[in-house]
Amino acid sequence: MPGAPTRLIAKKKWTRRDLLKLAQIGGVGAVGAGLAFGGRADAVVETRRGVCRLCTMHCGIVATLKGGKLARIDGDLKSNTSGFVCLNGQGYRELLASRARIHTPLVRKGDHFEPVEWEAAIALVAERLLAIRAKKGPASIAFETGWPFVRHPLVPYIQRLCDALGTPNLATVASLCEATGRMGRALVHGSNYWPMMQKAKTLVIWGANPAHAAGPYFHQVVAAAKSPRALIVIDPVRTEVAAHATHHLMPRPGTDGALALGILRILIEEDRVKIPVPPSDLADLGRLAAPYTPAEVERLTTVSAQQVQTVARILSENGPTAIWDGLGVEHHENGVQTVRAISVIYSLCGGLEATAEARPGEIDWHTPEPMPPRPTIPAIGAEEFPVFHAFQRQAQKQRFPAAIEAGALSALVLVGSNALLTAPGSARLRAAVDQLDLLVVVDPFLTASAEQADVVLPATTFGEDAPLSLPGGEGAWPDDKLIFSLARALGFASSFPWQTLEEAEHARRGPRKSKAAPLDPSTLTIRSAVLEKAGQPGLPVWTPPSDAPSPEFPLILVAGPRTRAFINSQLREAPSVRAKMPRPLARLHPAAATARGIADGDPVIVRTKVGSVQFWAELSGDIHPEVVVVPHGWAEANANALTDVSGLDPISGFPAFRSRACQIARS
Amino acid sequence: MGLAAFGSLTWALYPRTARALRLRPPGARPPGEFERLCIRCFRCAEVCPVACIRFDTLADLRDTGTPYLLPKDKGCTLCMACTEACPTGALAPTSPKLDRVFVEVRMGEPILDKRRCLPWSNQGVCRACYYACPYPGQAITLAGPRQGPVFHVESCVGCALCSEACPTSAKAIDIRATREG
Amino acid sequence: MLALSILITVLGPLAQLERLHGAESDGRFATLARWLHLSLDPGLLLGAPWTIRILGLEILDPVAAASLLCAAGPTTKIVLGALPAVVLVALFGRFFCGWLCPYIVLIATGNALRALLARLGWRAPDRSFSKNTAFVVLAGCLLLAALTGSQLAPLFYPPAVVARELPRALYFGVPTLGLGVLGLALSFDVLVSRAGFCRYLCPGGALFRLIGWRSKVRVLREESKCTDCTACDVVCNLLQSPMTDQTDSGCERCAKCVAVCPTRALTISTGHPRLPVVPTKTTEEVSAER
Repeated sequence: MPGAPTRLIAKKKWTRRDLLKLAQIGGVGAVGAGLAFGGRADAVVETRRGVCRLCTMHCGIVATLKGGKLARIDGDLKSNTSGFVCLNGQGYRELLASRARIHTPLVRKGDHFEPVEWEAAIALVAERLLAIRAKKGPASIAFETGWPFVRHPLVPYIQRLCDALGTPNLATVASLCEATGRMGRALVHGSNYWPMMQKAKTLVIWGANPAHAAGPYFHQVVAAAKSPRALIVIDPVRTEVAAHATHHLMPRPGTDGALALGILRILIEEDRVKIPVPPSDLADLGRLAAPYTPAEVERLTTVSAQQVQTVARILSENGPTAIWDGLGVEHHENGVQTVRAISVIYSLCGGLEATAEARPGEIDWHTPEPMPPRPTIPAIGAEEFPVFHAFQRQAQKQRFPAAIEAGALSALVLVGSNALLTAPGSARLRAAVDQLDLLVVVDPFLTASAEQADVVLPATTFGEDAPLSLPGGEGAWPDDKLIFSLARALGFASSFPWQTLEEAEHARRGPRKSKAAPLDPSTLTIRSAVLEKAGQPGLPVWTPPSDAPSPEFPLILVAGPRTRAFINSQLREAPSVRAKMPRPLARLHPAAATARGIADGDPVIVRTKVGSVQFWAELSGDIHPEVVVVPHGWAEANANALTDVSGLDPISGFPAFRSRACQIARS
Repeated sequence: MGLAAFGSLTWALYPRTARALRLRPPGARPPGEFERLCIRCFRCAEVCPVACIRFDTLADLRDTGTPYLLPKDKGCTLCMACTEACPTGALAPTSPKLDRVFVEVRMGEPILDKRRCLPWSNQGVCRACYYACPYPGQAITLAGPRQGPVFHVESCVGCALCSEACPTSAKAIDIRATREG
Repeated sequence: MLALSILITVLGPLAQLERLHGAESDGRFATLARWLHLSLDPGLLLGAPWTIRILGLEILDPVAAASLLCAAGPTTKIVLGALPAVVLVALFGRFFCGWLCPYIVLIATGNALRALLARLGWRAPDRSFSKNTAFVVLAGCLLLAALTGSQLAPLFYPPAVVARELPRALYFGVPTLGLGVLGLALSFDVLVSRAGFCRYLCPGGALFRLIGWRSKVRVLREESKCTDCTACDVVCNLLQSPMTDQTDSGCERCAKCVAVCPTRALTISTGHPRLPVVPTKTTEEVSAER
């Protein structure tokens, strides 16, 4: 009986409950479909070896993929870096999958961007570059590469493209990183060199923090602190490496040259010079160093006279000594001369031959023959910085804003460079960029620079290219494909017949690696004829920073030391890295803070003669009492709103990131 | 028959003392009290931004369906969203400020196997745990010729980020749940 | 009301898709979730379909609350969280079962399977047990909670199972044994007793019956329209008899009887079970006229 009457008498009426049931079934069905087609398949596990290119350490990494997607990154035990990967390398996983990635080329239409197909975007850029070249000459075009391209084999091909276009204006990070050091050392010894830490009994780390700048080798630095070895760290901040040092000197930023001359004076006057030096050179150097008595050095640098004497003795008695100097020495107006003075110390105390390895010709510009002829037009900055130009064969990008304002530069292509955040004098650069006829930015993300661009071309990140070939970056092109396509669109197909960099390098034949060799100490040059010819002092003089502390700006700003979290302006899109530094901090000594009524964690304004920026205060006894340390690369707290291109190093054109007069106050 | 079923269920579910404790999400009440309050609703896992909370159906009837963490697989980023999502207070609401978390959260204790740890066993250079730790210099310090980790139990909240970061070839760190919760 | 119930039973677990897969998002899955417009902020909706927090308001399932009270004792959180649902059930009776429980789909599936089997020639049994069986199950769960501190109810009470196992399956992309409990219940419904789980085994049903014992909202029959066709009795899953005005706390107010009545004699409303009778001729009067 059940069933029959219902069918005869009652028609099926659709009720709200039926709708509900249908919705539930639909929902469950959708979930099931989702599971069937897209659920996590842990089945296939695969590992791939590669190299992390987020910084110049190039740590070997092993990527583990599960179901074709990146699951984790581990260090490669079999690589030079012995399995090390830093916080940023781990954070790379989040960059790969980040929703902030750009997936199509973007072209500006008014105040917003419109997505465009790749071929159309490349054609548009080529068309506009050629038009600008025709109207204003080839030198009105500049290419600038950023941090991911340090020692990257593609850069010679970007140079090749510039040569084909007829512009001399290729700039790289050498405009503000490491070149001062390379030049300074080469001016003293004929080639750049690198200290081999393990060979030294005394290791000096001067203005560098290997804990962050050379993570995979940090333990070697720490090992140098074990008796009978000595680790001397010279840094206005008690960094992680300074915490291990047997001696830590904290000079005022920008006074390292005075300290170096003070040490040289002791080496010379106390007859501690360990190698034969032409007497005239030694006499010149002695005269130069004479005023820098320990008492005078203490007055200039705040390093105690006692420490100066102790260190000079250790360097000469506890050898062999190796000296590793870093950006802390380079980012000043007197950078090159200071590096030279330090290099002379390295030589005079007898450590160079035993511990340094020459690194000649680090940039090999060769690309397959025939190479386009180099333009004869001088690059931007070449006349003002002839020594820099001779070494680097590049433009000095600190003079780009002036060139734009003068109408000499009309088109700028930023390849992996976030110049609007990382170049000194952001305000001026930002205003100058408005005057450009064309700004093209190549980047995986819509950076602060990309936001101002006329065309944005999304590039892949290193992991998406061979050999890692990790899934990610849909719609983005690898840099080599991008550059070669642009070259062909510009009409240089005969010069760029390859599809990939690998193909091009294969056509080039021959290794790029430069051979390392022990350094010959007889190459020591104390009085540089090259510098004198360029109108600069031939001896390693010290000049105080021109932006000196004053009553209005009594403290010294150090902008942009390497931090544990982030690499320049990168990794902000990685939550795990942001968690380690959620806010930009201005670090200062508690004494300096209390005098200004600033407590730990307070919002503060840091001011220089250029501008002011808000940070959050972190009080630490590790900071020199006259110093304020701020990080760079933060869009919301741009340290380069505090800097400008006044007081550039006259030899290298480097900006004085780490010695600007400043004031700090509660906001 | 019903009585037999009831009886066996009681036996199966009666809390036992000698068994390994599960690593619970942060803010968890002590063992025993936690299982009483947890209604197996999955909300903590729903809000977890890194998917570190997992549930289990059949391992042990007593805490079947309760949330736990597998330290070597995924660590807790200490966002405290789970403590805020828990409807019954099995996970007590906790502020996500790192200095508060340091005081209030003790998920477990770190245990290092030096034979597997790359720097300590001289197999390589690492420091992944140190970089992952939210309290570097307090919960983990570095020592030795290859700067291997030294764990300070009294300063460790047991988040297992170190354990997760430890390379696949080593997996030298485990987090052991403690009775205190 | 309908929108809310769809929201709760279906979209709740699915709403977490976007965030569940977060930084390790599977392209296709995340796209599916977005396409289904399911990127709900956890602040909006959490824990559906049991222990829901919607727009900040905590609605604790009464079964969870009862189990907690026995296992852990009363706390403000538990009592406050349980209040909304308890009040609603006290007013409207066992309506959760009729409108919001994810098991609704399974009842319909069970009935459809039984009809299919019947058409194929095998009539599935429809055994009846004591109407109080569910109360025994409920008592057992609560007693176990009190004695051992263990929570047994969430392991097989459908809203809890769905709320936990469905997102868990999405999370880890693996088939889940927990949902197997529901499969067992469905088998019981098909092979032993129609809607048997809801009738005899569900602790939630029992608890709602207790709380909603005095609910004034019931199925009302207008006798003048009723032709005694028994359609309403036949269609009811839960052993109610609207035709004879015998509906008790076990009625889930699902309105199937209301929908199926050919003369629209039934409504769900407050009031006395038997509506006032409009005077009509008696059968003797009718035959006298003929």
